[in-house]
Amino acid sequence: MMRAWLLLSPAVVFLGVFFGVPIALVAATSFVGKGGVIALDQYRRFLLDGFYRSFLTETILVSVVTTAACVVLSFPVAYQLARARAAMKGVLLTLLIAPLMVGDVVRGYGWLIALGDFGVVNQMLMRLGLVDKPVRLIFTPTGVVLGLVEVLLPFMVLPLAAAIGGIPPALEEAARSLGARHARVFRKVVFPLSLPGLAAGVVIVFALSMGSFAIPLFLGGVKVNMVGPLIFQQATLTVDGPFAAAVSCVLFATSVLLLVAYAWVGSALRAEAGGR
Amino acid sequence: MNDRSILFRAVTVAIYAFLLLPIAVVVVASLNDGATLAFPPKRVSLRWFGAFLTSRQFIEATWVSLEVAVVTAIVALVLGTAAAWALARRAMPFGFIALQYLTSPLILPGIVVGLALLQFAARLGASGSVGVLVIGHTVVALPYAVRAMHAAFTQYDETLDEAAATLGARPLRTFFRVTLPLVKPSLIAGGVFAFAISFSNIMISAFLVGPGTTTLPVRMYNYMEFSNDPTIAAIATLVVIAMFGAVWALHKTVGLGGFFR
Repeated sequence: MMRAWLLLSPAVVFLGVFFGVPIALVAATSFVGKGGVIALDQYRRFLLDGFYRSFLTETILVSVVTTAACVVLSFPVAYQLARARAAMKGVLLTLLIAPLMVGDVVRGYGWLIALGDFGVVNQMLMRLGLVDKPVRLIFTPTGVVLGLVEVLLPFMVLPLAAAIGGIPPALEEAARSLGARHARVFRKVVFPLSLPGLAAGVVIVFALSMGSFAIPLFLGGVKVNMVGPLIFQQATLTVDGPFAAAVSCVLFATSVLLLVAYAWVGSALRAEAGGR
Repeated sequence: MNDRSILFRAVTVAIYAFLLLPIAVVVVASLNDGATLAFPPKRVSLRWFGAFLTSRQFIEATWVSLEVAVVTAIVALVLGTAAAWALARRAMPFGFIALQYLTSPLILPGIVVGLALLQFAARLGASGSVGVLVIGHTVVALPYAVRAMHAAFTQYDETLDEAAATLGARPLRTFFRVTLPLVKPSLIAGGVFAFAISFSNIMISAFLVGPGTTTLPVRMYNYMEFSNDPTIAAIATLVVIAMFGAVWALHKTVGLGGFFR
């Protein structure tokens, strides 16, 4: 037991010193008001000033839409991944995981080219006859959502595929042999049993979207107000440490609440699945 | 195959196409001969790859990123392997909470980590150093190492260690000669993921880079702000080739299955 503690503590201490302590210092900085006194000025500015509050509401709105789109798109991908044969599964996993490793700068840059007024997306829309002239996509919330969905979809697909993979195919076959149609099998068997994976994906995608930085920076510019770029801009360009700290604390508190909800929902769903 | 399964296939293919669209666009754009980002390219050329290789700024940034990513991967693996062994193999009080805590940087906003370390480094007088970059990257790469190794140790057959002990091997020797070689696939996978997370990171680097320690993604972003020639597309294409190659090699050698549960 002694040895186990010795092995666990370096990682725990490392995160404590370089993650916990710096964030505690940020929290302390956020309460610095005008003239260096302890006050809630920064929070008042962020949450009550209409201009700054729009950053929070727009971030929440973009994150809700992004998460919803990921839920819809992830089911077919996750289902196919979970039920694929071993060789195919390797290919599909590579296609899902490699983009995560490539990173946001490369993909944000790719979207910047793709979403331009004469980019591939507009060319496709025009060729399909959906629009007559190019639609503005860059520096709009739609463009940011498109980029975020693309970047975050694997974080929804992977836990969902793990959950669907845990459902015995025999269960679906049984439902079908008893006369249930595909849609009904999905609604009554697959969907309820994949809920723990879906819940995990929803929390991860929503949290990552709330704290996203590169995609809103590249695709939103100064036209889409999101919290991540705001923190960066306040910290490095405006050099308003206390205000950047307050915005960070609001974002961080939201994420901690989500994390707790995630652990709680996860264990509740597991308990329910075990009880059945 | 009936109509329904054809439709289902078509939908998934379309979603994968959407997922890979920006990457494909970058690769095609990098082959453009002109100095602007015409798409599709009118004439094909590799001149922008040459532009990257002869740019002192970009080569310097590539070395900084490689250095930071290698050190980050090693630190994350050492810390992560030790912690994962303790959590997976011994019934620790608060073990579940410790695991949540060690993987929490996956969900908690990286942008806050960047800001926090910026202010922390300023207080310690270490702003803009490679060390601060490594620390920031290790915070976000650690969860990947912990997860990969925790999965490996959870499935590990403890009787092998007991056999080694019965044959007279001391615990340390057992760990290095029996346990570690058996979990090597996960070590490699965890290391590659930690490396990649560090190499492509911009959220944390944007706050922590200084003169002489600008990483490649930050350099690319800075360049994009005043030029739109395809040099960035060429660099991005090389990153895409490297990362897809690495993940494909992992799939072929150690498998990708267990690491993203």
